Amino acid sequence: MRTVQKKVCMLGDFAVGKTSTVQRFVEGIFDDRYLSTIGVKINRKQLTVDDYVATLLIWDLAGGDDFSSVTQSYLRGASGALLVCDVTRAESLALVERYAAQIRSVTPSASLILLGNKIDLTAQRTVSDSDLEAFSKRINCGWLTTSAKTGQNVDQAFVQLTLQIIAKSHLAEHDDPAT
Amino acid sequence: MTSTSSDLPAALQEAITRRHVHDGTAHAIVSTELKIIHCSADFGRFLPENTAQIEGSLLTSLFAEFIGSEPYLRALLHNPDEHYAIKRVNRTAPDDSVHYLDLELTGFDPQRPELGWLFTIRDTTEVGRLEQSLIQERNQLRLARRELALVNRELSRLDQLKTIFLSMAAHDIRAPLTVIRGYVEILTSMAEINPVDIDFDEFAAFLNTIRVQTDWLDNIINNILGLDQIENDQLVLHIVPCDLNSIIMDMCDMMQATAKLNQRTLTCSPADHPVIIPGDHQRLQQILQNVIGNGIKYNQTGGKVHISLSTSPEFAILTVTDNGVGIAQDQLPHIFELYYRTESAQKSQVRGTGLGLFIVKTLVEAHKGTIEVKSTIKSGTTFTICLPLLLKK
Ligand SMILES: Nc1nc2c(ncn2[C@@H]2O[C@H](COP(=O)(O)OP(=O)(O)OP(=O)(O)O)[C@@H](O)[C@H]2O)c(=O)[nH]1
Ligand SMILES: [Mg+2]
Repeated sequence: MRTVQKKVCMLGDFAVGKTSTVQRFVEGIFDDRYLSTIGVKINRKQLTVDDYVATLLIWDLAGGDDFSSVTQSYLRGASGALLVCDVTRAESLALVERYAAQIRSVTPSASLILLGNKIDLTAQRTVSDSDLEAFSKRINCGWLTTSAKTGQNVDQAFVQLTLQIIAKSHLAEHDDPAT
Repeated sequence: MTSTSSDLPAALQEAITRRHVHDGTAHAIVSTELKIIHCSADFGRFLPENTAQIEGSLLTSLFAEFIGSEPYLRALLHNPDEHYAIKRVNRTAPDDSVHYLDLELTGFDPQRPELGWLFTIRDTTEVGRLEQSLIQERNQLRLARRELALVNRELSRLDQLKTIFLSMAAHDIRAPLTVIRGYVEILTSMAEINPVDIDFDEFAAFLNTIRVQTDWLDNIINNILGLDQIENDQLVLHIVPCDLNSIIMDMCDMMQATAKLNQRTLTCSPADHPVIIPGDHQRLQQILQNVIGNGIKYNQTGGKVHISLSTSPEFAILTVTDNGVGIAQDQLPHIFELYYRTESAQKSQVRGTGLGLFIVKTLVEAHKGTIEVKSTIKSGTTFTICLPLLLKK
């Protein structure tokens, strides 16, 4: 077994469910109340994928349309990010493109996965699978629909991201210092 | 090269070591190996209680926030204009309250990178909490504004539909009126021109047509009035024990004329005993008139509509089956929505207001019942309505 330690970021518009997704993954719980995040909260979680024990340092960041240099500084050293949108708010998908551009400008090799969250709210859904598919093609990453509420696909999202990161660092000539 | 405490000016070491937090900040000296060499007296208050050792520990083992940024930090040592700051780092206290810290690393001296960094922690909980509540308010306001915009859009859609509905309803009312007026004129002239030789069969047939058209008008007006009551939350049912079996038989008789006029066959298999339910007689008739009326309307020449009534221990089960045009699967979930008309209904010559099934569902539910629909395009549709029986106590 090899051990790795990787920094990953949660990015996306406000109230799309970044904190809830992390909370579901790390603590296995869901809270209906909305508490806006400011700054950054770091959570740690270990998972075993293939023959790796990976410790993820998950940076849960504030959402919204503020793309200032402060946000930029949170992204340094990240190996990957989950780009989260809310499938009941189409405008949150549009913002994902700017987040993707921002993290790529700081760490060009970062692995990305687009998450269409709140998939449990079927009746209010306005972002379709084909919207997510088209968008993920544009920003060149994979996508999943998730629900922090029911837990659907949440573990898979982190596992897939970790697998992508490990595969990339295999390919890289020199080891990542965060390894 | 690694910095050691002896490399640093003694006065600075002394100042940092003795420094007490009065302004919510604490400092430490960090070596080029990212180890903490010196820290101010109460640096420890920013760390978990069980932190055994501070001096000598790796910065990244005490502050995970720096993991991954090591290459950038090293570059910093040579750059006098840069520092590395992570603002509003969230820390959850044992009592679940959130505290905020600003972390900052600055190279001591770009000319002497071997001296390492000065690390500053600033407690920004007070301003952070203010900031948090402002952002929370802003975000919630944005969500509320969005919600409002959605409701507005829905309202104006309904308003538009209402306008369409009104013109359709006007047209629907005019159509039977025109027929009635035409037949009344024929009957009048028949009576004026040759009252003696009147063909009574023909006369009766004309009168029957007038009756059918009047029933139809009655149905449209009942629906409009019903909608008004539903929309204004004024739907009041006059519940009494009703024999659904006899209502069905009466209704089937009443609608025979409409079926014949449209060249459809209407048949009925009632139960072989009275089926007593708590219900509003007139509303139950309205339910039947709409569902049977649909079976007749959305059908072709020679089409069939069949009504049957059976019971389970607790429910009366009424089905209305036709072999008409059917409804596409993707439209089935919407057919009970107000003003909804299926694509095929819109394309067909049949006029309708999109009120009938909405009212049917509302009335069935007001009777504590359920309605289900199954349909196959070009084969027909079955509505199944379950209404609770009046249970003997
Ligand atoms: N139904 C449903 N609600 C969710 C889901 N995920 C999050 N929510 C709710 O959405 C609201 C916002 O969730 P957060 O996780 O705080 O959103 P965030 O992206 O972290 O928001 P910021 O910190 O402001 O950027 C909360 O009320 C959550 O309970 C989900 O999958 N389904
Ligand atoms: Mg959050």
